[in-house]
Amino acid sequence: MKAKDSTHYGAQADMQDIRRCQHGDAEAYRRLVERHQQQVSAIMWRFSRDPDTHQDLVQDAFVEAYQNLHTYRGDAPFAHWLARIATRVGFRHWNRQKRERAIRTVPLEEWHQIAEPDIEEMPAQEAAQLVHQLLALLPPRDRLVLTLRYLDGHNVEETAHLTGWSQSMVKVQTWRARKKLRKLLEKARQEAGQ
Amino acid sequence: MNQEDKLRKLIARAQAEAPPKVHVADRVLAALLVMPPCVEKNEPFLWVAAPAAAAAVAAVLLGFSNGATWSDLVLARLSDLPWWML
Repeated sequence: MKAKDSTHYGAQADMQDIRRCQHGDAEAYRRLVERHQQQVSAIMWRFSRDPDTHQDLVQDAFVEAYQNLHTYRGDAPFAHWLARIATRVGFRHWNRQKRERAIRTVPLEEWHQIAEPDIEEMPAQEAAQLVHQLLALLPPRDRLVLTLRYLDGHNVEETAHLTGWSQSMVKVQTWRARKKLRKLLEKARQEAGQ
Repeated sequence: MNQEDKLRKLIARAQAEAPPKVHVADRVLAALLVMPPCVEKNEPFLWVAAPAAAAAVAAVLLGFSNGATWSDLVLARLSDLPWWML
């Protein structure tokens, strides 16, 4: 009940600040940023694990949200609307990285050297870094859908909302991405076995 | 060892990670200072474009009602242009 009240209060405060911001009140936008920056930070940490790039992405998400604030109608919570923008900014970052060939991936031999018991004792940060680099082996669309579905634990409907794709598209993309990743890991396993 | 099971375990481990805390409000506001205010967007050119389009449609319809064809209308417009614009 207490959590529900605080969510309701947060939504009300967001709406008030959005209206103030639409009338040119910069301090209102500061309050919105302060209220949602940790949520956006968590989203962006999936897109870049470099601290400087991560901060830039968080900033870009808020700047893009500000530029599109006139399109926010209040039908859904501001946090959901913001998450969609943040996902778009992150995805664009991956596409840019791909064009510039600046993606660091994990050598697959390294992945095969890790034994299953090691994973259980592995620090969470190290595990996250490894997952990030493994998924970076895939094209951005496949990487995005697997990150949202499996790493963030979103269902098909939520993933569709975040990506702007249809639910059938999310299902097809997930299936394709899993197939690609399985093939990649299998191929590397065979090569390591030879 | 099943590769997908291994990956699933790794993902479960990775989910325990806490993202870094950020404080970007100052940076965001500084970036926004160089941008226009976030007030309702208006499209001033729509007020020019809409009557202009309506006038063009009316002119074409008027031309057709006088028995002209598309090529007649285009030729008429082109002949109105000064020679140095052709």
